[in-house]
Amino acid sequence: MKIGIMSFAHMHAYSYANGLTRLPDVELVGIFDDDIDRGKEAAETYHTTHYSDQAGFLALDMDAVIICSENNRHKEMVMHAAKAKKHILCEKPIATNLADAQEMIQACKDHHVILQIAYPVRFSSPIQQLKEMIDNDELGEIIAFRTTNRGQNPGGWFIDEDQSGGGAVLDHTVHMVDIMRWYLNEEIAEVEAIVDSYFHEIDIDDAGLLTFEFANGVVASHDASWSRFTEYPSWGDATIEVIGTKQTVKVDAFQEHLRMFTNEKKSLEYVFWGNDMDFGLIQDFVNCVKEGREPSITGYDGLKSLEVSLAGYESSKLNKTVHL
Amino acid sequence: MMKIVLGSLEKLDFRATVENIRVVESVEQLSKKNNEEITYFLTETEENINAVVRNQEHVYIPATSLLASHQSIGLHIYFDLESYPFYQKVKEMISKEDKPKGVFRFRRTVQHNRNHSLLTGDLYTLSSLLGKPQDIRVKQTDLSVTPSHTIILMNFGGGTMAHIEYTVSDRERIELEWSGIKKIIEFDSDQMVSIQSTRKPTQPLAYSVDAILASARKVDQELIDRLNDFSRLINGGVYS
Repeated sequence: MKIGIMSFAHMHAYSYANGLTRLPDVELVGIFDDDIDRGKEAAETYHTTHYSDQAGFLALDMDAVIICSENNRHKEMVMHAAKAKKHILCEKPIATNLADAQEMIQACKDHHVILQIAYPVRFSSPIQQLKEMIDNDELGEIIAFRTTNRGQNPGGWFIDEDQSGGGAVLDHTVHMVDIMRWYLNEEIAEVEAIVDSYFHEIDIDDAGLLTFEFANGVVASHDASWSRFTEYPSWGDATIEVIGTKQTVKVDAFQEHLRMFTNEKKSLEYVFWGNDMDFGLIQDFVNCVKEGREPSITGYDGLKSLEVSLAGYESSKLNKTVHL
Repeated sequence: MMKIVLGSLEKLDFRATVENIRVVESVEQLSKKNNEEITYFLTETEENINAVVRNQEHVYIPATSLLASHQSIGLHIYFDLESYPFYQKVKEMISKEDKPKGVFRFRRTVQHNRNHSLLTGDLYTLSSLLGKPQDIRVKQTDLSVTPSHTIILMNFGGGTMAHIEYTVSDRERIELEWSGIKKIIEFDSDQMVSIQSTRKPTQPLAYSVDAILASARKVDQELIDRLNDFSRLINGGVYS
């Protein structure tokens, strides 16, 4: 299978490219990036060809593309790739607004190409184990969720609202909303949130607390932030606690780590040894294209998690509950 | 006049108590004693509280008991959260910041449904640390079904927001996190314990009589009004 990568603006492009190189029947045929230095460097690293012309890149004989651009360029790249009949794995969030997301979904449908959204947390082994436990009714009826996704400030275009569409709340809410929807098979009906910026002197949000109510009455809390500083022992976390009538189970996708102490500035570091969820995502996408099946994480999943995140901003701005 | 503390015996940490205390089993035993050097400890039953409440000046009762039925000015009440040594340390660490800014997350898992009064007391205690809340929003599951879960979203303005959560389940646990500017504080009563045994369950959270006496507040109208305010808010009222 031949796959190309469109843009290395998002750091996940590197781990996705690493994932592609681990798959025996997959070839990374080219990298499109109009940041020429970045594109050339990536092409050199992954022993492939760099293209600075999007049309020329999309004219290549390849089955699929992985889009890792700035969030505001997802739409443009998805529309072009769909028209060129390439199956698509698009980095999250699907878009910066709902109208764009809907157009992207429709374009992929019209051109009969797969649109999968990159939510790697679905491929975390403990997150998958918890899904199995829920499906096997080991938790009973779900009453509530508690979720967190806190990390470091990625800087760069992430803190430019025009390019990212939102700060920590957008960046770190979509993942856990996707997991909750997946576990519960229900949609969020109400959102209440406080969104603010305190951890860094930046013009975009770096902290948010959100409360959700699903259509079936399940309640949930979510803590999204870029509150982790570089001296903190890990990049951050992605946790979910599911409170059920039979039992409560908590999972941290990054909990499988060693504690390493050194006499350096960062004296304690958590060294992660758990499964590579990014590789799981890439493997799933490749299999999806190979089998021509419905993607495990659809454009609609991307749209719904984006909708909830944007509702968080609206709730905070208007200081009221947003009903979806 | 002698001091009388009412509370739960299993919550008492005798090793950490310096105060000269005597545990008495009944109010009758208490009536035979009047040693001002000694602090008497009595189980917090409804009957015991009613019996000693006359000696208001030197009676210390849990805030949850006051909220339930004894709104008497002049009594001393104590909040369990404020009496725990871990919370004293958290308070010290956060208070070191000039104007604390950050995300505060607090979660209690409780065994019995005194949720409402406990929650009201916690909101009072936390607002004493983080400031007067500007906005509070509450979401709850059906409280008649166990487990139940309550989520309170609080905006303290000036750069502090909080999620306060309660689960009524089959055990006791407190988890707390403060994500401040270049300072993160984490506490989990299940993990931060010195003794772990495969045969005994985790030791309950405990406090000393000294901590009770040091943190207790004399009940006045202002305190009652604030507690009533928080109580109303939990029931869906508007902050005033």
